[in-house]
Amino acid sequence: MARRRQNDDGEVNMTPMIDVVFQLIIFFVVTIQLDKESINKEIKLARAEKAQMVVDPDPRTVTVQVDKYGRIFIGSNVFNAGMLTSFLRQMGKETPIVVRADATAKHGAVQRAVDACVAAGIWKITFVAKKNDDV
Amino acid sequence: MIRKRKRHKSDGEGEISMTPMIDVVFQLLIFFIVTMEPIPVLSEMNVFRPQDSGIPPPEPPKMVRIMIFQDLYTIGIHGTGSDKRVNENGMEVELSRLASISRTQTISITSAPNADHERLITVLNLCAGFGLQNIALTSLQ
Repeated sequence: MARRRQNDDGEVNMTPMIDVVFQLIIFFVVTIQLDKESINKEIKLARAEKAQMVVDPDPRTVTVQVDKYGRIFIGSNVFNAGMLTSFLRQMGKETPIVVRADATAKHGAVQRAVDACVAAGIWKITFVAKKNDDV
Repeated sequence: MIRKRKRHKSDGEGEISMTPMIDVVFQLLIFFIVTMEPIPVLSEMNVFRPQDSGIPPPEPPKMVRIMIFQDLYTIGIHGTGSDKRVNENGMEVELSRLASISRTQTISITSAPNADHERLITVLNLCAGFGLQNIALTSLQ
């Protein structure tokens, strides 16, 4: 008499599904970014699809953010022009500066941030924009 | 002869019930799916800022100067006073013409304080598209 297989009664084998679910979990854990809180999400960047894409950013980069109200941030801290200059002087003249400004921010506010960088001896500045409209 | 049949217990000693673990794993998966955000693809545009904004940098006399205002752009040769008023399409045409002559020419960009930052990015984007890399950002006093 042939031996009946254990799975012939209609039960679903859970093992492969658990394997796939664990792989998905590992994928999300590996790809999650924990430093999102340093970026001000209210800042809507302008679009610049022709500029070169940001690849391998310098870890020393300081991101100066300017929101639509003209406030200057580094991380979540608000700076005025003088404070920004003092802070950047401590960082050094070779510090890469990235300016991340809201599209509707007035250039006067951006100019204050840029002037603060110049006052700290940093003359090479990078403006960041989004390359596509997905976000 | 009576055949002894071994009974296999489904949940015998030493076996772990997988159901709660599967529940937790699915909850974790749902959490990660809900909280995942697409990563924006960013582009960068480098400019250099002359240290003394009131003094024009010692560049060749035919430096191109672009002025950005809230409602228009002007482009012309620095110092000649013959700036041309253009819109975004006109700016693209002028930069295209400039790039066909020389891509290493210095371009001085000055933006009015009340102009939106987006207008500056638009000009920088056009310059990047035409390979114009030598860009100086000056400020209006």
